[in-house]
Amino acid sequence: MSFLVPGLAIAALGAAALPIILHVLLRRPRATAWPSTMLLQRALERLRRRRRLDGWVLLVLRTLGIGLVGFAMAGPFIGLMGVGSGPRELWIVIDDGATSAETLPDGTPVIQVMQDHLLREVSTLRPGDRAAIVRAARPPRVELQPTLDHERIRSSIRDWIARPVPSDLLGALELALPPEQESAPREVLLASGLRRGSVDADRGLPASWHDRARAVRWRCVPALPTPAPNRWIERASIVRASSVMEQGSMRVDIRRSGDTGSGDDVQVRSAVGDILAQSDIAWTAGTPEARRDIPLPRTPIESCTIGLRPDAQPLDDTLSVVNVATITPKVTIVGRRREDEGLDRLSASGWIRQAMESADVQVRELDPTMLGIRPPADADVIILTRPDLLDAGGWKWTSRHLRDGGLIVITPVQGANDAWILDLNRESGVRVEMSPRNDGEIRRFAPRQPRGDLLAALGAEIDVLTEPVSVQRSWNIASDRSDSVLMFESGEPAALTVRPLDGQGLLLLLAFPPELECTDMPLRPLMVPFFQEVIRAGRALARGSSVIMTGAIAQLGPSAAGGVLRSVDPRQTRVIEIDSEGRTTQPVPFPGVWSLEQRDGRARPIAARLDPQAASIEHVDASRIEAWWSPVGVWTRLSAERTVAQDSVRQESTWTLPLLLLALLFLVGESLWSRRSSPRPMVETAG
Amino acid sequence: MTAPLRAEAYLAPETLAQLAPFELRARMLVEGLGMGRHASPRQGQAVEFSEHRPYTPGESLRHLDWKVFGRSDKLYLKRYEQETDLDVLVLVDASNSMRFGSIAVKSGWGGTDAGRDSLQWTKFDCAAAITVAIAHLCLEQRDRVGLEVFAESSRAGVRRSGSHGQWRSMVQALASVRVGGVADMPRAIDHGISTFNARGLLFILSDFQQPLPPIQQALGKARFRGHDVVLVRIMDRQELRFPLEGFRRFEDMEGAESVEADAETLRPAYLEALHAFDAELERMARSLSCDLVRVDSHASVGPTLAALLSRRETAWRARRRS
Repeated sequence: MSFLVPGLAIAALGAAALPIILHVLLRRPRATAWPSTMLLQRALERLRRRRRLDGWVLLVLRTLGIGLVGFAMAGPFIGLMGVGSGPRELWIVIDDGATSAETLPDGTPVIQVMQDHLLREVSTLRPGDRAAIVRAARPPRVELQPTLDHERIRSSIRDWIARPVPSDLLGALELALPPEQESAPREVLLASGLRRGSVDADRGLPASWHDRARAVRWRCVPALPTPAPNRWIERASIVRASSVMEQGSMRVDIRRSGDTGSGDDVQVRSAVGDILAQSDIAWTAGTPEARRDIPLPRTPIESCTIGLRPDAQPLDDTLSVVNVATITPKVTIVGRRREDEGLDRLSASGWIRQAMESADVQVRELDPTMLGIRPPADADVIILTRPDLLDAGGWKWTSRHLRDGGLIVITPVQGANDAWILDLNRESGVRVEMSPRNDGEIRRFAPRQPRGDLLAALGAEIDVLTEPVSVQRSWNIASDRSDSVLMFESGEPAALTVRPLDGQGLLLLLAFPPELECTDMPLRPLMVPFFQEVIRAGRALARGSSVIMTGAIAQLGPSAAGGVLRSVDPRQTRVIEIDSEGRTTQPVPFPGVWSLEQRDGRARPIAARLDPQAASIEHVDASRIEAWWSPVGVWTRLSAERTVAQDSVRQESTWTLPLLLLALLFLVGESLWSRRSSPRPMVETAG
Repeated sequence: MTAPLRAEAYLAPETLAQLAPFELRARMLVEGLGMGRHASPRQGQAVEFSEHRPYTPGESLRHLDWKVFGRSDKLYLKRYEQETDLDVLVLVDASNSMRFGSIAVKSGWGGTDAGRDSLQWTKFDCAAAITVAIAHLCLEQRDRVGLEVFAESSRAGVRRSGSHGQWRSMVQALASVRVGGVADMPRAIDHGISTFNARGLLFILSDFQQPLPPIQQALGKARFRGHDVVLVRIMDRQELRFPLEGFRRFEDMEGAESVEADAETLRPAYLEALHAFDAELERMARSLSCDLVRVDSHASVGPTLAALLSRRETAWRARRRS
């Protein structure tokens, strides 16, 4: 039971104590001379039980009568926990993840709405009730263990801010669930907009929750209205902007839900907030996505932030980008020249080296047998044109380089044993299958090539570039974790990228060596842009670590072990240590540009992003939420409006009138009980 | 120096008027010494015809009823009852409980030790008024009457007599006796019946606020000796109705005991106990063939006694008819 005016309830308790005090104080007897106490003692003997009962009944009736009047005036009402259930234990789960940054169509912040509900709910707690706070922003945590200090609870609720990390509602709710052995009733009050970014309704609930949630009453704040139109930056990347200040551009993909208007401003800012570029985006009516290439200034851009004007969800309107192209790539070609190597008999290594000449790339060559002995420690890209000659040490180093975020390009070797595939699979943590085709068929490329990330900068040009290329000798290549980069017209991959099972890095596997004995590709225009783009974009892709996600432990690779991740945003300084496995010791707390400072003194920028899906404020249908939660329980929503809530309490579930009637009943009972002791005179005389 | 006793102040004229039509009748045969109004167990000398009985040969023909012989040719002897005077002893309880009273003393009352200081009309005053009236009645019908005022022992006594100064002596004794202490009624009864030489009438005036079995035993002796016993239970109206309120400590007037209780709460149980005790007393009286009269001390003495006398006279007439 709760009270609209808890203070009056306490006063009622005090008032109820008054009859008890008076009863005790006024029990000073008046001396009365009586002829004989014989009959009185007999009466007392008869009365001994009844006298006690009567006295206490009267006391109880008086106490209850007065107490009930006070309680009635305090406006008691039945909460969801019901009457007589003892102290409540209320676990408040606050969704302070990215979705709670939403602003409602009327301009009210969602947090404010939720705070009002929570504070009102906390005000209904009685002095003996305990409350706890669980925050759902990743990683979820119990901020306040159950406490009787309601002021701390209120303070914690008022301190609610939206954090630019995903929510982990399930994790938070699990923290709020009682342990399996505990069966005490518990209330869990969820304050969340239950938007798409918070609720993964496709994800099943743990089976063990069913038993644990048996004594739990689930409540949540009222459903939010349909979200206001929102748009967000889906993807942004720097296209062709290198350290030699060639003209580059920023490609931005923006999506929207609802009608956000006809146009938007996009701004590119440096890490310290200076505007580097600006552009307008014109929306086509009814189109949910837009792309814009924004010219960048001819200045080296190491990192930047792309921003839109904040709207209903401000946290998805900025995105940080790191331009890895500003650092000259270091490429090591591990191969062996032919003894009779000439222009018409260049090996794959030679052709690839020539393709790099026009690019801002540092190229060195290394004999395969030296890779394990004197590995190129600072190499970004390793191109293996003679994998068949690598020894065990060479494979070990290659594997480490791959897992460390390096890019490995492997071309098959004509006329050599393919046993190296086994070494590759064993050492590198990839599963690749490769077998030579001996059908002698000349193969051509598919007219429409895949639009992958690796060759994204080439765009539709790749179709034109691959069209004249023919391959006389090729290998069948396949892998279970691969993306096709180039495809033959038969649909089989001509080049594919493979990610290792553990760690980072990227392996590019060609189905043919770029040698004239196998293909005319070295003579075609495809050769140069293909390898330059592979080096440029492949390095960025390999270092997937150049983009890390907020709210998660970042996997930065072995080379980062022992280093630190430092925020470069001057407004919020934060340093996160990196453990020996190359992982951050705590989740990345906010998006922006971070600097990875390795133990060897080298540093490189890393962009931390908030997953746009995790920040999605897209509406989730109530029936979907009900269906999702049905194995565990039913969410009961709080009243929508403050006044309506209190009025409904008064009108529908207030106990004031019944208690007043009950008090009246007690007082009438007290009067009757008192009269019950009225004298019954006996016959005075007998004739 | 004490004021001279005004014996008339102890018997109100209206009481005299109320009792005038009645005679005090013994319920059984009494053995008086002189001629009186009460039936004697001895057959008298042509005093009052009692019955006929068949003649047995050899008997004296002195009391043969010749009229019956002439009419029926059968021999019947006439039997006569001798009427005698009555010995009456009034035992008055003068224990401390009899000092209890809850109204002011009645105007014109001569006063006793019990209510003299408090100016209350006590149970002893009521007992004294009844005793005086009974004594007057007895002496008026030439019976002998005596008085024994007792508490733990005999406090005052007036030997039975039918003389003209007897009534005054009794009034004097009642007016001057000290009232207090604890009553020992069995002892008083034993002492009282020991003064009788023949069957008599015993009045016991008390509030009977004591255990009944010893009293029953003593009364049993009295009844065994053929005495007629009238129990007069005198209670104050406050005792009968218990109209008290509030939390009180009731202090026993005859002892050191006290009872603390809420009067209103106690009232029902007290009245129940009173009813139960009264029923117990009545059972005892019935079992011993004693008369029991309950007197509210606030009420007038005359009607109460008149009711008693009327009842006894009715019983006497009924016995005569049978």
